[in-house]
Amino acid sequence: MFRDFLFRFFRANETRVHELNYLFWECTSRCQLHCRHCGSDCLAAGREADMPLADFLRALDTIPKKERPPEFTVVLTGGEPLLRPDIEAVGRAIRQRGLRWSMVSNGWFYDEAMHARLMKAGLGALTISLDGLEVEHDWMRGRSGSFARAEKAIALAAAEPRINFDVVSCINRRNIMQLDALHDRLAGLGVKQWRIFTIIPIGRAKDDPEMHLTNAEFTGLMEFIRKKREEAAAAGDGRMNVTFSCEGYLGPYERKVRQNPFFCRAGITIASVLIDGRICGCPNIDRDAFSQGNIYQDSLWDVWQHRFLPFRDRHWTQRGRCTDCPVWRDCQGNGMHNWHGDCAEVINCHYQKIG
Amino acid sequence: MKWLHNLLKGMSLTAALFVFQACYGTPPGYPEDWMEEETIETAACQQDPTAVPEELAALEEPETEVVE
Repeated sequence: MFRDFLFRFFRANETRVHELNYLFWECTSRCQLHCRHCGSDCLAAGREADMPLADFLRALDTIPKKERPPEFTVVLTGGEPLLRPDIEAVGRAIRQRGLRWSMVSNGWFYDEAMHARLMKAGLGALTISLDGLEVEHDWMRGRSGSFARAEKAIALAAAEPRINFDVVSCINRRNIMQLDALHDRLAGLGVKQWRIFTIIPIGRAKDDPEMHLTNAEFTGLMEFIRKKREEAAAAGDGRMNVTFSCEGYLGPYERKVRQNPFFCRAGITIASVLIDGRICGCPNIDRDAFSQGNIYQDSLWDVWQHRFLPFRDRHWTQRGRCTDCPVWRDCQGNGMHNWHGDCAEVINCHYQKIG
Repeated sequence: MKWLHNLLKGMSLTAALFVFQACYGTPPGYPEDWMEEETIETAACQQDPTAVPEELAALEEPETEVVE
């Protein structure tokens, strides 16, 4: 109880301070895959042209140097960032400003040569997606050969000690039976961090029943992660760390399936520059409902300093099933990406799934 | 209270509180031992970087084979 109280105090203070230290850049909306769970509904051609690097840097440079903490990281996302032919120039420009950069990729283009180029450009952290064994991953990603390419990229990145690397897996009804096999496969590739998330009903996944776990399956997933974490802690031999993403409040599984209690930091320490210049929290948050400005009209830093109020005071989420929820003060309406459209109701309640 | 934020951040016992990643983001930053380095060299870097793969440059929509 006292620990919960302290964490609430910590969270409130972090919200008051709202130090920006994690900036997504949706640098392209192009993607060569056709993932069933894509929240961005990406296409190979892309609906929007890639944002010119100079435009992003102009926005980045509005952040005063003294306001950039040492851990400040620019996270390249998309679409598939490796489709940008200037990806190395992007990385170098960020490093020249003394900032860290990282990237989320599907791994398709991540071969030895690409790895070498990105390391030279100062890549500091990398996440590659793997959504099951071969058949299930390729089904999920909409392109045969995706698994083989991703697995090769994972092996390459896992062997590189100079980046923080993890694998992220979206667990659905088709791959949930493969958790143990997938765990062993990743561990065999030398992966040290495996992060698991589930689907929120937006984008292409909204009406796809195979994407959404039943409540019993979701609880089973929590049990799997808890067990793996306990085994790793007991063994103490540096085996792969399995965590659940910070996508939602988990009630009895808080602190058991990830290191820290739930804290949606969107708009508190996290911002994003979207493909069309809009400024928001995380890229998977409803951009029509929650964008706070646009780098083509506003100063990114001014927007960060003076807007983002719906992110920093979540009392507005006490509506619908959250109105009288007994855990609201710890959950605060779940992750911001769980509010869409008219925001009349949270679209996903992890706490209720666990029951 | 910025001073409290800085104090907590500086304390090794509570540093874990600041180790986070967004739901769909990457792990934070760089491994500690080289995050200040300006020149990055790895074994893989000894290879000659090649040009952008032709496959990447030639990417077109019809290339996608949808798996059902």
